Amino acid sequence: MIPKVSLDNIDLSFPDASRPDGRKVIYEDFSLQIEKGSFTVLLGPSGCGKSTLLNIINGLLKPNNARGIVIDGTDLRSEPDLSRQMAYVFQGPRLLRWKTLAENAEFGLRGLGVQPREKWRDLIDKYFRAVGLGDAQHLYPHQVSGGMRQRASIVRAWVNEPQILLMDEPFSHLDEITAAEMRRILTNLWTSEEERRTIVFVTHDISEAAQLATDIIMLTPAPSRICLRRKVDLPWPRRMDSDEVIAVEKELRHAFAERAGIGF
Amino acid sequence: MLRFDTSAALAQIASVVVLLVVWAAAAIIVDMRALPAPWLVFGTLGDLILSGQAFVPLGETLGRTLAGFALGMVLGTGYGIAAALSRTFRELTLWLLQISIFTPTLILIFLFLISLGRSNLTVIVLVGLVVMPVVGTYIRDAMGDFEDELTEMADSFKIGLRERVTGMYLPFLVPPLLAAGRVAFTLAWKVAFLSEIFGFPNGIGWQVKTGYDIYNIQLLLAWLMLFIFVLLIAEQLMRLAQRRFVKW
Repeated sequence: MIPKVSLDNIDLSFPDASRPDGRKVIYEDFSLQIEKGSFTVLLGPSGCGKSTLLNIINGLLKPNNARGIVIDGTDLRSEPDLSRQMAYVFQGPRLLRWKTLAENAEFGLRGLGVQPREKWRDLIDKYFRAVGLGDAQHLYPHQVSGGMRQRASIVRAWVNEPQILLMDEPFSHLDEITAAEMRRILTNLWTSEEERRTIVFVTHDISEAAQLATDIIMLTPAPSRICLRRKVDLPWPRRMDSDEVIAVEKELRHAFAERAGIGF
Repeated sequence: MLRFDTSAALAQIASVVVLLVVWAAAAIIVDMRALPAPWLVFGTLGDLILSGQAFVPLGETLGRTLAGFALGMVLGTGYGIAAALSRTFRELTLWLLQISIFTPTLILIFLFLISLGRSNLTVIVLVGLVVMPVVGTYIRDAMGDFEDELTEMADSFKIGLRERVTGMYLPFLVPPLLAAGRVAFTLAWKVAFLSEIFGFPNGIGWQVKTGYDIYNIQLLLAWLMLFIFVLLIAEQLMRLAQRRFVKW
């Protein structure tokens, strides 16, 4: 395995007055490797620190202690600009309501400093068309549906052509039909590129994990540890109701019950 | 889309008509020299405008007001954003801001005219400094509603300070800026007017003072009407700007 991201011996805790020792431990001596070009899904119950991991990888959150936060062999702490190779998709679209969808995408390009600038217009057009919003890119967020806003937020991230795409439960606020369509759009985008980007996707939805992942990393409740790591070698496109995906889903449910102590 | 609200317009017209009727009735009852009737006042105002006499004083007051207003808006917006983003800056400047709001404007006018001399620059700086804390408070409090989620988004996309200010904070602040602008312009206009009454041989303020000095209430009220019309026009322009610029 060629690791794209490597977290070595991470310690992270937050002050918590309700606990006897005054701290809530999220990670203790936690290590994780994410394979280059994989669609890695971090699966775990709410509060186990999945989103926190994304923030550590992105350099937005500094752990109390860490032997290494390594991107492509270089420690992020010594080379903070490495985080410019990453883009984030949040739970909600987090679009600027005073900018059109296209201007929101351009805002991301401007922030990450993608060069050359002359390419921006083509990139924006290309990815808005890819997610079926070619004609809607000049509308304001309030003029489009929730699903369209979330598609625009995916474009805002993807348009930077990041090496690592961090996605924090991006479809959890959508209705199931829209979410299914979004998963199809996302996997189409991801599989359509010759050199696949590394995606780190956080979810607590086992079905979603089974359908999307090439690698599943299952976390226990905090203090988190990895209780299962599994590859999913199924062809694309995948259907959520296919026997193979359902079999993976069942296995994950059993693993959750056995290893994380959470039953369904 | 702009929609004309007929009932609201009728109510506003009715209130103006009632005011004029009460004014006219009062003028008929009391001595016309103490309170001239509206038609006499508007007649004088018409003469001032048609003869062109109104425009020079109007331009002088408006120039000082607009320059001071612009200065106050820029300083106030800068202060509001800085105070919202930095707790230290906010605490350091809190007392200074409150003192400047609590100090009676008339005392500031006297102080500035005596200390800095009777120049246009004095009035512009004075108007700017009176307007600044009002705008600053508006903007600082409005910035409190800026969503943390958008700040996190900006952090994740490594958005720099300049881009945050021009692409996020200022557009977010357009509605509160317009609201603050309406209050600030009225304040700026009044401060410039008062400064002229006390320290200038020109501008609308001086014209009103002249009317008072020669006990010509009709002239005084005509200039006052002009003063009020400018405020009404500014208010309508601000409302139009709000509709034009706030599309979201």
